[in-house]
Amino acid sequence: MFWRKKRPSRDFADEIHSHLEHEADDLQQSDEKRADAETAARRAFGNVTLVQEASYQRGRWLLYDQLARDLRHALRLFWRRPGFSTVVVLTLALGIGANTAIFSVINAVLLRPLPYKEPARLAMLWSADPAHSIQEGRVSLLNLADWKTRSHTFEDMTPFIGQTFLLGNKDGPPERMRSARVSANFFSLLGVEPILGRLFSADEEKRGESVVVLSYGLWQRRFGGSMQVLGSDLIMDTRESRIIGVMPASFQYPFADTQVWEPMTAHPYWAARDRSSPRSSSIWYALGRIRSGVAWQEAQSELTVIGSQLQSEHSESKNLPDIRVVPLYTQTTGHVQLSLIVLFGSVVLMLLIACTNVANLLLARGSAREREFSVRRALGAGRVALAAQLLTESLVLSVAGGSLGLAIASAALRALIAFGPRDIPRLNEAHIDPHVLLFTLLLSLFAATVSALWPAMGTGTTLARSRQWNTVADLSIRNVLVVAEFSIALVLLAGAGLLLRSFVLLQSVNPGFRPEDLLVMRIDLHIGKTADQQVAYFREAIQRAQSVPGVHSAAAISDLLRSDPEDSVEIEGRPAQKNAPCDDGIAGPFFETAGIPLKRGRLFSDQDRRDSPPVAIINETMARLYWPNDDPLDKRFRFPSQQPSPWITVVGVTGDMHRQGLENQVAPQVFRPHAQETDDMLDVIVRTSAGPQTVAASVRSAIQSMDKSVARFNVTTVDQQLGEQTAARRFQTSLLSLFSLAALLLSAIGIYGLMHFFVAQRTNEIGVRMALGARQVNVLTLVFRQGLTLATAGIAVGILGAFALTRLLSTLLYSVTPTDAVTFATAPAILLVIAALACWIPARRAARIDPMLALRHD
Amino acid sequence: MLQGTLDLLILRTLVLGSRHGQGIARAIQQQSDDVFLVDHGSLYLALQRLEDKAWVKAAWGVSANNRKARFYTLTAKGRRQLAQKTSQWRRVAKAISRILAPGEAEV
Repeated sequence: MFWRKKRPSRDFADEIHSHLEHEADDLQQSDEKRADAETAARRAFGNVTLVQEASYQRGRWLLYDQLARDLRHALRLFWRRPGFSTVVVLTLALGIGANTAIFSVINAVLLRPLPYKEPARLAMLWSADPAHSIQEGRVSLLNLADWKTRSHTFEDMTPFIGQTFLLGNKDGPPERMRSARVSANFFSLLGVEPILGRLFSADEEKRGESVVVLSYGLWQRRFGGSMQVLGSDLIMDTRESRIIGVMPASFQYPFADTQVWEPMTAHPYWAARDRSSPRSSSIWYALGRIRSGVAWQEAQSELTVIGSQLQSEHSESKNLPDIRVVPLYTQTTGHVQLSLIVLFGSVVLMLLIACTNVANLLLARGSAREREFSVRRALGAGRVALAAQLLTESLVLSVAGGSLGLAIASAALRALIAFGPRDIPRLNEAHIDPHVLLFTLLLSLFAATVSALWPAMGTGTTLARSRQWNTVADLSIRNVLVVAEFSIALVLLAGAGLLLRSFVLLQSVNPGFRPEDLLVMRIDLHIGKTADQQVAYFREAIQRAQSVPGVHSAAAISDLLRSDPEDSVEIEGRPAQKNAPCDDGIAGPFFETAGIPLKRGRLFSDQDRRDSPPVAIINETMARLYWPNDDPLDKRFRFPSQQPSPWITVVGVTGDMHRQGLENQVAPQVFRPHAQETDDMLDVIVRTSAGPQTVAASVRSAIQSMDKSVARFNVTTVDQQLGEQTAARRFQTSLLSLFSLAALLLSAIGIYGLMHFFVAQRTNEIGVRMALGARQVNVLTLVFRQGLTLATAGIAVGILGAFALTRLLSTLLYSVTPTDAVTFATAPAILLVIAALACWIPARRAARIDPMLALRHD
Repeated sequence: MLQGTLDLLILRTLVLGSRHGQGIARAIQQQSDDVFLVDHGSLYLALQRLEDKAWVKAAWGVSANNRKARFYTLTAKGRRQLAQKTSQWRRVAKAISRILAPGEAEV
């Protein structure tokens, strides 16, 4: 009971004194001198101090007592060695900070459960057709209804689809927004509730009532977060819908930019298209919730059976035969999981190097403090006490490092969120929460333990031995540490090198067009314009853009940097085939504006009208694929899935352009005149002679002033859009490079420190050697040989490790193999050079040792 | 001396009245016919232990030699402990002696 009031040591000492007096009294009766009696009494008692000490320790929380003392000692020590402490704290802060930042991201993206009720039981359901490599195809309503009635493993399933609408603005053009058409059970399946108002019922869905639930963002932005919003109308395009509820800010499903949820039956498309859509009309997303206790595998095999049943029952319809169950968690995070885990792995490795360095520093200081430890040992400090002291010291350092690391992490996190790619879900929600704090704390404790472990072991085993032996033992531990550092650094460097090479190779891919000085804006006429009006609108938009000063030329295409192939194509004289090209409409001088060369034939002209014979310009890939031994000009083809599907004549062949991202192969491509392939949504591209940003605003207002009913649009540069395509890759490449650079730096410091120590220890020996005639070169060689041997050993181990680990990266790489020879030659070379540089200073110092001074040194 | 035995002996010594530490040591030594030589250091630590457990209580007073001394008195709790420990000890002692001299125990 250490909280009881303690008996003062003084009182105990008094009692002992009283005892000795009484004892002396007893002894004196037998006629001894008082002084002798007192001595005898004392002798009989034994070690008074020991008993007093034992009495002091009784009932006290000894551990705490010692801890406080070790703590005071440690702080005093670090205060007196500010340089050492700063280096250690900074090293640890760097390692802990990087780990904390990446962990916060992982916590937000991967670890935190999705914000729905029992999210682990939610899954996306896809139609699949492995024969045509369709893994995640959408679902038809008829199929989904059958799945739902036949499945026993699923509690519920619900369809949904995204739609866009125009929302009018009081001033300025209307805004284009995304709505989700959902079923009434959508919300209950996810287990979400509105923060205001209510959700729509199954009855309302059945009647197709025009009611909407707003997103929190839209509610705030358009209605100022007013409670009176309920019951008022929202005008989507031209439809009036009654607002019945508002969802919380955290609910953004199914699309990050969903602004409105409405009954799927309320949209005009329901009556026009969806209500009686055939089994083959696979345009819906499907979400399901499995019963609790059911394993995914069970659900998947049940649905596989249902899929094949339906396939045989409805063999007449063009149905996708398979069903795939993808847990919602995998669906949302699957594509970033690997790169985040790779990043996490690399920061952990970096932290290990940091700890190794700190261990090394502590060790070096440990041998300098050897005298102190010997004295303490001699005075009765146990091995455990010494280890506890070392642990306390490194604990103080790592707690300081951890706190600083936390500051670094929160700054780094802001940068990560600002510069991170957009396709990492919930990245913007990453913040330092209690989980992250706990992680940082554990990390700091881990760092303290690891970095104190080696030095503690060193002092434990070697104290009994002579001074000479001690340093040798120390040195060998430190050698191992440096070897470990270099091997970890090599693994990181190899990983970063592979990603970097992928990135460079990707950047050097010829896109097939000139993206620089090119502006792009997506203009959406939306519904309500005839095909002729669409053609006229874009023709005028292009003309207006061309008349803006600083504009070289302007054109339009259905989507500049994205395209999906058609279902099938029929080349005249051959049966229809599945492997079909992409089909896009273009308006204006597209090839000139984009900078794509015409290889053969002619461009489109004003003569290619709606009523003239259908014509197409194809790319070289298409020419090569479909007419490998033939001239494609004047050949005809058609798209059987399009309605109508006339024969189209090839009139020209252009160079290939990477439209599906630089990483993917160029797809066969058909360009057709916009007049013959009308579309209400085009990318208008503008080639500027001056800097593109300066003319962007005037181009925008020139086009916007044409028709106030067209939705507001943004103007960006094509370079920017291409940058977004590679953002994820740039993100992971630059982070991994940064980490490996830090690792490189830390290992350089590590080997520098070791060689510095090595030279200091051997000052005597080197002096003797030089006195005996060794030249500077010999001394340099001595130091370099020692340092480079260690580095080489580390690199060798590292290469083995890298061979094993880079395989994990293979899906992140572009046109390099995980064992890329260039990387595996460069990384060790870089490390060797760094090691040589780090050895250079201590080696020079060694070579300049004055033999006379050195011999007097000890 | 066996662990725990010292506590028992101290409590036993205090049954007849309060004593100071040195007195307890002397008493144990004399009553055991000098078989038990009490280690004085351990005695005081043991006394402190007993005090913590509230089996004895202590107060400064004046001894027969006219010196200041700390006197220990058995508490009610201590008395109960003594009774319990004594019977426990007897059982153990009997058992041990049975094992050591099976023949005698039979008689």
